Amino acid sequence: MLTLAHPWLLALLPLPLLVWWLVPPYRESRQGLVVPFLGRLSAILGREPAAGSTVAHANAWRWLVLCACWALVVVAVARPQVIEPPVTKDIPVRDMLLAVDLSGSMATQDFTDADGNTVDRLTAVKQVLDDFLARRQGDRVGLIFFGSAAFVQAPFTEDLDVVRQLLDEAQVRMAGPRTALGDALGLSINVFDRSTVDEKVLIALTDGNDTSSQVPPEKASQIARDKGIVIHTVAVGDPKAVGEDALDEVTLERVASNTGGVYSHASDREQLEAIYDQLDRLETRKVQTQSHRPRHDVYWWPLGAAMGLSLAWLAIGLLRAARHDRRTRRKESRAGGGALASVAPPVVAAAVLPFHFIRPEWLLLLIPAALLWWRLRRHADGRQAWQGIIAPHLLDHLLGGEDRKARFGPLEWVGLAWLVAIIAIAGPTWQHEPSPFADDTAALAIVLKVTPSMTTEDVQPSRLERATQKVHDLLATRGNARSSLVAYAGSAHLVMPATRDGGIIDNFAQALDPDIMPVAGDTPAAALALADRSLADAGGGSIVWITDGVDDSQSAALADWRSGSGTDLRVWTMLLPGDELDKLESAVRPARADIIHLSADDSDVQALAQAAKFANVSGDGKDTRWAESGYWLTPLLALLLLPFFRRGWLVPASRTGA
Amino acid sequence: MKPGTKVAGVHVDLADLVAMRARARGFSFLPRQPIHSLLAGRHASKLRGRGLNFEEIRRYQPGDDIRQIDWKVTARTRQTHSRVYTEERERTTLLLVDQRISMFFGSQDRMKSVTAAEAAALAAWRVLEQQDEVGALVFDDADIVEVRPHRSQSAVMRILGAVAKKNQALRVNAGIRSNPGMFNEVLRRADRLAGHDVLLCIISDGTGHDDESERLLTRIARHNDVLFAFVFDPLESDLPDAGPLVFGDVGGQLEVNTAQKKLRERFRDEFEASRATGRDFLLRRETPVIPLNTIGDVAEQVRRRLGSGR
Repeated sequence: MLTLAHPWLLALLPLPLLVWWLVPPYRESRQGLVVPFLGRLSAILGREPAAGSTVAHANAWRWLVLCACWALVVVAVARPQVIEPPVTKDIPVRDMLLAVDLSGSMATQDFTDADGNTVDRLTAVKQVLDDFLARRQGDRVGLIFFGSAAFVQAPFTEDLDVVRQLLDEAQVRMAGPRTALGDALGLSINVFDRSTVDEKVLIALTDGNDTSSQVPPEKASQIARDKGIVIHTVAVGDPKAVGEDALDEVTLERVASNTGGVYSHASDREQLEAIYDQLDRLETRKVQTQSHRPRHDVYWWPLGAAMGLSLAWLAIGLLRAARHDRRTRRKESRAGGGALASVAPPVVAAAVLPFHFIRPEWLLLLIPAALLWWRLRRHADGRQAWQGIIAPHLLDHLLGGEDRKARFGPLEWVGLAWLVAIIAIAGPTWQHEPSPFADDTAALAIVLKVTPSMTTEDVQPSRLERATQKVHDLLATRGNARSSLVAYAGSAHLVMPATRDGGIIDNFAQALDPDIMPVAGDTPAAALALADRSLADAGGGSIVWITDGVDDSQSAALADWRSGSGTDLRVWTMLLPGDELDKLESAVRPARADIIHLSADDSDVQALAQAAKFANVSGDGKDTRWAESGYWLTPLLALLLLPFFRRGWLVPASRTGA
Repeated sequence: MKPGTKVAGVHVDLADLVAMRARARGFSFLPRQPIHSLLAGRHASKLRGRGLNFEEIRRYQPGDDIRQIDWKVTARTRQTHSRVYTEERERTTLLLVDQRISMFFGSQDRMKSVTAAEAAALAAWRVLEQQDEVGALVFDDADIVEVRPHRSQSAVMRILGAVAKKNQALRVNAGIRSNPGMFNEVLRRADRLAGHDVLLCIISDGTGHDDESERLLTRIARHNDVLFAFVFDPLESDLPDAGPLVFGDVGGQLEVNTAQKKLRERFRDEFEASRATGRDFLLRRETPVIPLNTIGDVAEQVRRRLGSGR
C-alpha cells in the first residue's frame, strides 16, 4: 500500500507560480555574433533585439516537462512510503526473579519426587521450579541462589532453557551452609535496579531462618516495596524445627505482606506444587504485543521518473540541435573522460563503510548525466555555436556582448540538481533504521581464554585482567545490546547466556581465573561452538574471541568449526607485537577471523562494537534495514528546481523544442 | 585586439595596402573593354569623348562605327579598314570607400571592410598607373575624410592612409553606432566634388541607400560615370542551419533559431530582393555593379570583372 508520510507538503505544488510571477525574468547575456543585418532579422522575426541581454523563450512542451518534474519532486518531498504487512512482537513486561535457598538444610530428605521416591528438598524444589519455568514463556526470568551469601546464577533472560539448565546446576551448600535471606533480597533489589520493566516479582524460597544476613529481611522488604517489587515467599520444611533450621514463618509472612506478596508454606511436594500453581495463576503471564507496520521510503520512484524525464527532454533537445548542426565538431571524446573523472570521487567514497548506497547501481546514471551535461555545456557556449560557421580568426573579433552571465546559471543548476537527484536515488545511508522493537543490535558472544598463559604480565596488569577491562569497556559501549560470555581452557563453559545485563557479564568476567577452570588445556573450537549456540538462542550475532595463542593441535578443529558455521568471528589479541602475535595470527587462519589488535586507547573497543553492531543478524534481510537518508536531499532538490520556473531561466538546449 | 597588433583579414594596415600595388594589374577602368567584359557595350558608348589619340588602323569589324572607316586605306587595299582612337586619358577617378561598422563583418576569409580597403587600394594604384588623377572620400559612421584628386603617389598614399586608419578603428565592442545616413551624406559630398567627367567608384555594401540616394546617384550619373563595387558576405544572404544562434549589435541581442527553414528562406529572399532592386536601379543608370565577395582574392575578383589580358 502506498501512502504519503507528509501529504500536506503537496501544498508546495503551486509554489512555482509565485516564482514565475514575483521573480524578475532572468536576463542572460550570451556572447552574440555582431552582424550588420540584425535589423533585417528582427524585422523578419517580428521581435525587437533585447537590450544587452536576452530573456530566453520556452515553448509549451518545455513547461509541460518542467511541471511534470516539479510535480514528481514534490511528490517525493511528500515522502511516499510503501506500508508493509504488520510485524508483531511480544515484549515481556514483567521481570521475575527466583531466589532459591541452598543452605545445608535443603539436603534434608523429607520430600518425594514425581515417582514417589524420597528425595532431598532441593531436588524436589528443582523439579517443581522446572515445571513452573516451563510455563513462564514470555516472562523474563532470573535466578538467584543464596546460602551464606547470595549470587546471581542467571541474569534476566527470556531464554528459559538456560535458566532451567542453570537451575539444574544448583548444589546444596554451593553458596555456603547458612541462610542469608536478607542478603538475597538485597541482591535481588540490585538486580531489579537494572531492569527496565514496571512489574517486578521476586519469588523467594527458603527452608530456614535468616541467620547470616547483613541486612534484616524485613528491612530489605521495605526497600523492595519502595522500589515496587512484589515478593512472594515460600517456606519449605518442618515448621516445628528448632535451632539453626527453625523456620522463621513470622519474618517470611511480614516480608510477603510488606510488599503485597503472598506467603505460603509447603511441607511436601504436593503442597509445593500447589503453591507454585497458585503463584502461576496469581502472576499470570503477561505480554505486551507490539504491532508495527514497517514503511519503506519510495521517494526515489518519483525522483527516478523526474530524472529520466529531464534527461530525456534535454537529450532530445540536444539531438535536435545537433541534427541541425551539420558542421563537424572536433575534439569531442577527449574531454568526456575528464568530466567522468570528476564524478568518480563520490563513487569511491561510497566504498567506505558504514556509509554506503542502498541502490548503488543508480550511480551509473551519473555517466550519461555527466556526458549530457558536458554536451549541453559545449552547446551553451556562445562562441561554440559559431564555430564552423565563422572562421576562428574572424570570430574572435565578431563576438560581442561580454559574457556577463551568472557564474551559476541554469546549466550549472541542472548539473547540480542531477547530481543531488542521482545521489538521492542511489539511497545514501550510514545507519540502521531504528527498529520498532529496539532490538536491532546484534548479539555478541565473548569467548575468553582462561589459561595460565593469560596471566602473563607482558601486557599490564596481565593479559587476563586487561582482557576483562576491555570486555568491561566493550559492554559499556554496547549499552543494552545482548552479549554472552564463554570461558575456555581444556573445556568450554557458557559462563553467561546472552543477556542485556552487561553488568552481570562484567562481574562474571572479572571473577574468571585459570584456577577455577576444571580442565587444563586449549579447546577454542569447542568454545566457539558453544558461543554459536548461545548466539542462536539470542537470534544471531557475532563472536569476539579473546586469546593469546592457539594450540597447534586445534587448527583442524577450528577449520571444522568454520566449515559448519557462518558466524562472523573476530580475534582480539591480548598480545604485544612480536613472535607470539605472528604465531597466533597464522594459527587462527583456519577459522577465517578478522584480527583486531590490542590498542592502548579504546579504538579497538570502538571498532569491535561497531563491527558487532552490524553483524549479520540471522533471519531475513528485513532485520538489517538501512535508514533511507536520501530522502533528506529531496527538499534541496525541490529548491534547485524552483529557479527553472523563473522566466528566461532555461538550459540552452531546451529552447530548441519548437 | 590590442592596438598595434593586426590579424590578417580583420584589419589592414598601410603596408598591406601599399603592397596591393603589385597586384593592381590585369584590369582597367578605361573603356577599352574586352568583348566579354561586364562593361562591354553598355558602357563604352557612354564614356565621354571618342578619343583623340590614334591607336591603329585595322580591318573593319561589324559593329565599328562607319564614320571611323578610313576611306583612303580602304581604297588602297580594297579592303574595308577602320581607324581606331582611344579616348583621352585625362580621367579623374573618385573613390568612395565605405569603412562603416556595417562593413566590419565577414564569415570566412576577411571582413567586408578589409575587402573594401583592398579594392580601394587596387583601384587607386591602377588609376595612378594610368597616369590619371585619383581622389577619395573615405567615410565611416562619424565623418568623411576627403582626399582631393591628384595625379601623384602621395595622393594615393594619403588615400590609403585614411583607409587604413578608419579600417583599424573598427571594433565590435567599441560602441560604434551604425549610421546608415552616412551613405547619402557621402554621395552629396561626391556630387559637389565631382563636377563632370569623373569616374565615381563606390566601394560599399550599400547600407543606408534609399530614395534620396537614388536621386543623388541619378544626378551624379548625368555628368559622370559611376561604378558600384558591391561588397558582401555570403552569410548576409544565407543563414547557416545551426539551431539557435545569438545575433547582436551594439543595441542588443536576438536569439534566432536558424533551424527553421522558413526563416532562412525569407531571409535569403529578402536579401536577394533588395539586392536586385538596387542592381536594377543602378543598371538603369548605366552603372555597372561589381560584386565583391569577402571570400576569395579581391584582385582576382576585380580582374575577372574588369579584366583584360594585360
